[in-house]
Amino acid sequence: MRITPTILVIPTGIGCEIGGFAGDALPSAKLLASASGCLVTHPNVMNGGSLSEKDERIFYVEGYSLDRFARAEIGLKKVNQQKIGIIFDKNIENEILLRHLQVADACIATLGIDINSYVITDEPVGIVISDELSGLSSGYVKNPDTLIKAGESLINQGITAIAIVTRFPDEIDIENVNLYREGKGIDVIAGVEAVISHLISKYLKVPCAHAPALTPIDLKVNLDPRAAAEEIGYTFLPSVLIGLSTAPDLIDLPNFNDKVTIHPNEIESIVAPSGALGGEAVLACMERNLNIIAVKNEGVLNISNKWFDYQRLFTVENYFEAAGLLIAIREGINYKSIQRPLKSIKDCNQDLK
Amino acid sequence: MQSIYYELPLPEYINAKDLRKFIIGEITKKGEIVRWSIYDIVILEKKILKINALVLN
Repeated sequence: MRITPTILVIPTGIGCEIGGFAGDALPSAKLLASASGCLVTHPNVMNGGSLSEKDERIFYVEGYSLDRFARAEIGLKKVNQQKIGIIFDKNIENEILLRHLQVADACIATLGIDINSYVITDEPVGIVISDELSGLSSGYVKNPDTLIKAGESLINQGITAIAIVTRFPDEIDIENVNLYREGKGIDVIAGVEAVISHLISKYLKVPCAHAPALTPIDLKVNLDPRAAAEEIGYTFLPSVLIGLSTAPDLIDLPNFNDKVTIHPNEIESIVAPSGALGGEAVLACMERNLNIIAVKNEGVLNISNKWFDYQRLFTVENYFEAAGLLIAIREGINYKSIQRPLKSIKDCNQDLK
Repeated sequence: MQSIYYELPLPEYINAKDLRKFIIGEITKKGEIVRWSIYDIVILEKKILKINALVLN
C-alpha cells in the first residue's frame, strides 16, 4: 500500500478546539493515520488521561524529539515493545504514589506492557506554573538536574523509555481549571508538562512522556466531553504508558548500523493548526520545503501564514479535508484537479516576453 | 532554568525558510534551549516576533 509519511502537530496548552483538552485529537490522528498510512505525532495528541489507543500507523514521539525529527536529525525505529521505567517526583505523597504504582501494575497485568522499575527523585522537581503570558500555558521547573539524574539511573538499569510523574501544586488557579473543564479555557498545566518531557528528551534521548500527579478535584456537572478522559481515574498515567509501550526508538542521524523505519527525508507533509505555525517543527518543515497543511482549529495563538507567505501551504477547513488532501498526495492525484474553477496550464512564453 | 520573553525584530529580507535558524541563533545567546515558540507577531516600525523560550544557563 502507498503511504505518505506525515507529521501531525497540535501544540500543548494553546487551547485548540480539537486537541486542546484530554486526548481529544486522537480520533483526528487516527483519521490522518488512515489517510497517510504513517503518522508521526506527539503525546498531547494521543494522551487522554486514562484513555489512549495503539495504532500501528502512528508513531508516538515526544515534542522535543519530534522537533529533532522535523529537523532531520533523527530517524524513528519501530520496536515491538519498550522497557518502561517511571520517574516519580519526591514531592508526591505516599497515597498518590501508591495509586500510580497500581496503575503501572494494572498496565502490566491487563495490557501486557513491560514496565520494569521506578525511581523517586533525590530532590523535589519544583513545578512553577507561570501566568506571565496571559492566556497561554507556560512555566518551568526549579530543579531539572534531579529529573535528569533519576532518568540516568533508569537508563543504567536497561530502561528504554521513561514515564515521568511530577507533583503539581494544589494552588493551581481553580477558576481557570474549571473553565478548562467546561471547554472554555486552556490547560493551565500543559506548558510545564511539555518542559519536563523536553528536558528528558534533550538530555537522555529516549522516548518519554509526562503525567501530572494532582490531588483529586470535585466532581463537575457541566463537564465538557473533551475534558472527560481526565475525570475517570485517579491518575493520568495509563495513556502515557500505553503510548510509550510501542513508541519508536530515536536514532541519531546519520546512522549506518541501525535500520530506521521512518527516515525524516520520507516526510512529505506536516499538519498543524492554521494559527499555530510558529513552532519549531513547522518552521523546520518550511526550511525543508515540505507541504504545510494548515487546519482551521482555533486556539489562542494567531501565528498564521499571513506572516510567512510560505508557498507550499494548504489551508483546509477541518481534519476531514486534511485527510482528503493527504489521500490525494498519497495517491499522486493533483489536488487542483478536484477543485473548481480549474485553470488552464500556464504559458511560460508569456512570462519571457 | 529560566523562562525568557524575547522580542525579535525581523530583518526585511528574511525568507520563511531561513526563519528558524535566525531565531535559534538569537535565543542560543541566552542559554541552552529546552523549548521555544513564537507566541505573537506585531508590526511596529519593523515586524517583531514575540518569543517565549525556556533556557538553561
